[in-house]
Amino acid sequence: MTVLAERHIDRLVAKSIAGDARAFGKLYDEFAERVYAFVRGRVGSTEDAEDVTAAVFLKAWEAIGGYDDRGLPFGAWIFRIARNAVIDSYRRTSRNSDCAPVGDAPEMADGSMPVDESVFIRVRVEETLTAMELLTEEQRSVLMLRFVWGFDLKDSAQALGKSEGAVKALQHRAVRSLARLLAEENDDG
Amino acid sequence: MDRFDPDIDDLDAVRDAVLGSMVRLPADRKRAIRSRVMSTVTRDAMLARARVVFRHAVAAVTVTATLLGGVSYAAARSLPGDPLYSIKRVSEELTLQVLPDGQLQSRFLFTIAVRRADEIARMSIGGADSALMLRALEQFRATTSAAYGDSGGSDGTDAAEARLQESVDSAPQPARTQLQKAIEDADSGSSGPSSGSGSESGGSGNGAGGQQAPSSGSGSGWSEPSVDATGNGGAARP
Repeated sequence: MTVLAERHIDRLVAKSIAGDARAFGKLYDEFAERVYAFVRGRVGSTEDAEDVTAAVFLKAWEAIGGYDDRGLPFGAWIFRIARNAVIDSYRRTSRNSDCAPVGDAPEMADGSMPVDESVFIRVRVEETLTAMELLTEEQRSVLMLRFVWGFDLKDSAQALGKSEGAVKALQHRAVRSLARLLAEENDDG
Repeated sequence: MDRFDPDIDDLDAVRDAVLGSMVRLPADRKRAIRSRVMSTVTRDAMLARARVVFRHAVAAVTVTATLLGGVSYAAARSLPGDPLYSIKRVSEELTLQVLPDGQLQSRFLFTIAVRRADEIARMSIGGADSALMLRALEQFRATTSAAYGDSGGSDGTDAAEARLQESVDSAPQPARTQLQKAIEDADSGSSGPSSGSGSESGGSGNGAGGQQAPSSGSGSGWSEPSVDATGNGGAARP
């Protein structure tokens, strides 16, 4: 994914606040994959994930007039919207999120990858997703923010509404827990 | 498969595992979601732009109508104390609200100031009540001061006084005397003739000779619009 400079994001946000639809479209291009990745790990199907992702950006468009860039960074702001959208989705569907079925596994292999290697990766992905399901919601969120969204501690803290120290401790516990779970799965296998 | 040892470099291994497990958004699905989102966003943006254009159009029509005397003839000719006078003032206030800051606003304030001067002249000819005269004079000065705000300080006040003097000079003799009396009362800050009108505590000081523009004119036969003619509580408009 193209990583736009923070100032470029700020300009796009400013234009979007002024009602520039094209600028908002570029913000979508920048954040859609991260939002989808976060949502997909928490809802039951790709269709639901796409619906929630669309709802996140529509909500962001509705609310962007009230966004204040002196406070929350835009990425943290939209993460909060995504997190709330997932919670709303839980409430609506009254079902717990499942990990992505293997059949829905990411497009991690290109066509040239040998079949056995592709299967190997899919098995590993399934194990990781299963292990992540055993983490708390906050632990999954902090791993997502730090490793997938690329947030630093400060932005992660703002996105989660916690102190940097609390996020650091949360990340430590999440990493240790996930590492232990993956090790146990390997031992079982 | 790599082995995870919780005690050795968990961070990199977990990072790799998490990144590797992320369900990526296929390009065609990303475009499909984008289309859904942008159809609403684009429609909203167009509606918002249409609303802005409409507001500007309404503002332009309102300004034009007001400048051309769009307020009904009867209201436009009304004087303080007349039932239609509040319509005239509200129309002016609405126009000020929609005008952008700058030269156009100053010109309109000046137009209002001239109206106030004309009203004073006509009131003096008609033998208006002293309290109303004093209030009209205060309004005139408040508006003139705001209209001349760009020149600032005494220049604006001097210009306002010159404008007022024209009204005095053009008034017939009996009215001229009454008008001079009202000016002296205003200059001295006397509540004199307007005492009992309940209007002396007005809060829109405007820098016009240190006077205060009156607040709502209860008991004086006409009511002020909710926003003072200066529109900004006395600070000179740009």
